[in-house]
Amino acid sequence: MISNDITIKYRYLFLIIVANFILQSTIFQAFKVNQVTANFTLVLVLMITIIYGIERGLFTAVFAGLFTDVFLSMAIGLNLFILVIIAFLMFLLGRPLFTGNKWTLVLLTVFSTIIYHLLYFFFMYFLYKGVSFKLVMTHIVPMEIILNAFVCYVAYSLAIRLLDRYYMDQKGDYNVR
Amino acid sequence: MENYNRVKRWFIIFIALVVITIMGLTMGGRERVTFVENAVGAIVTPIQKGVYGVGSFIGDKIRPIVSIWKLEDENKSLLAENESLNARLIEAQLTNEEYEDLKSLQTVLNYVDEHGVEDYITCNVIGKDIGNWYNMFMIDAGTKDGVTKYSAVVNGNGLVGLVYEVGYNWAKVVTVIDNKTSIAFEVLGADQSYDGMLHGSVNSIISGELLDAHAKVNVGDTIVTSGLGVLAKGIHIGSISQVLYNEDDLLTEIIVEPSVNFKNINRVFVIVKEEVEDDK
Repeated sequence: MISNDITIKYRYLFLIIVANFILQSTIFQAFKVNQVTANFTLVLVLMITIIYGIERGLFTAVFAGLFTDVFLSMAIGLNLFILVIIAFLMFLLGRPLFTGNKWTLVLLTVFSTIIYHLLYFFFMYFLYKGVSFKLVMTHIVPMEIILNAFVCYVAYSLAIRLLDRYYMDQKGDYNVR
Repeated sequence: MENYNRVKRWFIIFIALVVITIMGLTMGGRERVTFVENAVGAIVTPIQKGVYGVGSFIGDKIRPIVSIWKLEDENKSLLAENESLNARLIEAQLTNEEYEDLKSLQTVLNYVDEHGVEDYITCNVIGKDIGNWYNMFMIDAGTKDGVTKYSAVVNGNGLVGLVYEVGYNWAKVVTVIDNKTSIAFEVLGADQSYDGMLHGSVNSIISGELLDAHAKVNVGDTIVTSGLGVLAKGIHIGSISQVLYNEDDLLTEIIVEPSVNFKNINRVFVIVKEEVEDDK
């Protein structure tokens, strides 16, 4: 279980959200595998909720979702709504389940990626035409699960190492986990 | 405390309903975006433009390494294409001479000239879609440059997509391979001209149906926009890669190989859609 003492200021979190949006829509597009990219926004919401709790998780979900919806989405509120649900799910299931084992985090990423696409399909079914559930599940989801899990594993390892170092400098012998 | 929880629950339901309503209202693109979105766009898009250049550079360096095993096949197909293009160039030069003769005749007979595509804006791609559900990208031109909703977006190879939403200095573009887009097309190279409707799909395949059930089209025939709907006539879309006869629907279906390489779009042209004046 992650320590409840660690926190992040909202202004820094907002900067992380903006940086994530800019990097994902530009540089990270170069790393497509079979025309599929990892969903860094989903991974960010998941990690922030698990590390910092529901309040920061919801803040991330709302602003990251809004940025995506305004500039690169078909409808306003689509990503926002789905990411908020995922933040809630991670708070209810992810945080109690997660004890510091990175493979639990990978499983949570797989779970949240599937939920993300199921919810996306649900909304697109009513808002959109010609969406094939089979095509989405066979062409997009499997590859995205692998990429998201990989990104989450690497990002979490880096984040925990940085946080450990930061809190050690601040308070002496300290471990965020 | 119980009352507080009840109020909180209803508040969450209310917010959820508001968000779903906004989702429904904004689906299909808005005619104009809010001033808040414009303000945020004015700050974010210049940064995106700079960072996108770095991303394109990295992509250009990675792509040849990843596809090195394809290079020999690509080289062979390019040589074959080169030969065929040389033959067509000679043919075109002959046709051009005939065309010039006819054009001079047109001036003599005082014919009304058809308008070509003259009003276009050159712009850069500054961001690509984050999810994997559709193919959308951002360009660094908006209302300040005269871009309007449903303007056609093309590059040197042909039709790329349509403008979906426009901000002050940015716009969202949906590509033709996206599953929402429907385009009226015309087949060139067949015995006679056939019309139909094209649409994309989740797996980026463009397919379409011909309106004439007895249409006879061949693999390799060129597909261009027919001028029906929001797009101007004659914009190159691609060529037919497969012809399927659907006996149940009495329709001829086609699969189209787009002429644009959607993996590598960095600079595009927006053909500004002419506004219909009410007072005319």
